[in-house]
Amino acid sequence: MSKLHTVEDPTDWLNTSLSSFEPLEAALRCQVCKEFYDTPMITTCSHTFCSLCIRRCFNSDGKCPTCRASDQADKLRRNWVVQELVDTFKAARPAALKLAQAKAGTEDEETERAKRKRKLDQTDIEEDDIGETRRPRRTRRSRSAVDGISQEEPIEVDDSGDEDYDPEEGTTLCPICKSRMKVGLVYAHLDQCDGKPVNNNGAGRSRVQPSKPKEPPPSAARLPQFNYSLLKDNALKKKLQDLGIAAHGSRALLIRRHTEWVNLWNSNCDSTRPKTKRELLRELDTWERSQGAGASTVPSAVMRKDFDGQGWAASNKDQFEELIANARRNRTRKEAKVEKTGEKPSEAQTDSTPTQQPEPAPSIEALVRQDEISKPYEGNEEALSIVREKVEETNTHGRRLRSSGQPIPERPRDDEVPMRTDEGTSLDGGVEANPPISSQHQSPQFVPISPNVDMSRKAHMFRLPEDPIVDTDGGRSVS
Amino acid sequence: MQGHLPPGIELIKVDDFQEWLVDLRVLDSNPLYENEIYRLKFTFGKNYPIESPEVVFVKDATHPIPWHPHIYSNGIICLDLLDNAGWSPVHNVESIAVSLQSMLTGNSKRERPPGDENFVKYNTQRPKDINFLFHDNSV
Repeated sequence: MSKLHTVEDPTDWLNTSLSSFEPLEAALRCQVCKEFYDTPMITTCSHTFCSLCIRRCFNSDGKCPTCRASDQADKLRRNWVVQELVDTFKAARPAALKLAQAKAGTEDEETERAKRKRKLDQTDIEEDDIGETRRPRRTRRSRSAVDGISQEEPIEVDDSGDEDYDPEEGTTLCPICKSRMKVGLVYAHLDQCDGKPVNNNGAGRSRVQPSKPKEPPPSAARLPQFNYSLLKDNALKKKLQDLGIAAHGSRALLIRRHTEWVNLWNSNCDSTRPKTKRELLRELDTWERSQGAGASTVPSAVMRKDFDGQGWAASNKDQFEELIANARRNRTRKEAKVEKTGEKPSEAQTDSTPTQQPEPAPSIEALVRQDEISKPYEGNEEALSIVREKVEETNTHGRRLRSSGQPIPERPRDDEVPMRTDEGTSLDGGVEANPPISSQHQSPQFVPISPNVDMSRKAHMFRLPEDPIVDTDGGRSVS
Repeated sequence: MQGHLPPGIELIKVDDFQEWLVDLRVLDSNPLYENEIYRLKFTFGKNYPIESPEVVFVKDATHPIPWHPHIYSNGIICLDLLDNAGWSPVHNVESIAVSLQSMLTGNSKRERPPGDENFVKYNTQRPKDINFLFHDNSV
């Protein structure tokens, strides 16, 4: 019992003269860790938690602990006002509690009676003149405080600070430099406070000293979460080493350690008073000892020595059976598939071979060339075969046969020769003229050319240097 | 600490942060639970409050296990709140106890969950490892 009683919690206010402070303090505490908010962050659903708490929760299930709305850590925003409230309240708490407890007993009733009496006795003329609604109460309180009966001032979060009957009343300690100042001034001071303890307590406000900056805090760059499933063990270890944290242990532990480190680091980035990396590492070490290596994880539960295998098998029987059934079904399906595909490939091959043959994967050069040359017979098997035939005929039988297969035999050879040479010289022009011609025109058009193969060969002999490759290739492939 | 707990809920043993005992009474005049005090055992893991505590009724000479269609006779409670899927870190001992109290208050059946006998006989798992199927939304 004693151990727990040392823990401060809102119920400390119960049974004191300030029992209504219990809900106030509870409201200033994180619902997850039940501590005072540490670097409070607000979610998109407008709930506030400690930065570290909410980051851990999001790691766990990605939902707001209060309303279960899905949310993400990178959508968290700081909640400065809550931070201020907490800081102020924490600073005021010890003294206020002490006073409240001291009067908790018999005095308490007396105070109440005294207050009531005063209320009856006094007419609040002056206060009414001022016209403030809050003022009368405060005045009364401060009066009773002067009487040494009730001193609630230090706990008041909104501090008007206009009645300092006691130098210590209405003031608070700067959480960094421990200098005493008015509550209302502490935030302005905190913005400038360099953390150096100031000895002159009475000064009220510490001088801003530009000298000696404190140890530089970790850079404000937040760390990203990894997609661990995409990282191999070694890569993950490397990442941890790069971050300067321990990289030993199982993969699961590495992941959890990194997650925790990212949480610690990022919540530190949120903080108004960032800790140094060394402090963070110490915190990680604490985590390591309390939850890290020692904490059991789900897979390790199965690996435990006292793990009840039969119980496990029994409790998961349905799942196992379903998995087995699935596996069996898949296997039979696969076998069926193999049989089918076993037949198919031969068919497919026989089907595909003729169509694929005329189009072997062309090299870039070939492609370029094909673009340059006419493609009258590309993909046109009919035309190609005709061309082949003609070429073969002319090759084997010479000129004579040429005339036999001629739809247009009238063309005089003498005319053709210059034509060919012309075409040879201005090959590109001739070539370009060809493509638009539809396949129906191709074969008749080609016919007059093909008989000239022997002629064109002659022409090639001369024209080879100019643009040899195109035509010779075509001629060769044809032959 | 005791002072602010809701009526019918009483802390018995809170020595540490691992295990707490809490006594529970049903305040309404429900004939099933009248004049009986039930004892709850809370076991907190290392990841509490991110993970739910283990909560079971314990049975001894003076503390029976309450009748309820979602409470097994060995004290294991089938409540989504106590499962990691239904758990939220904002819950605490008080809220759990109140939930259980209201769960009992709303019940009128003197029943055990189906398959209670078998479950009690053969279960070796920790309550948290059991995959409960939360089908009844009326509690």
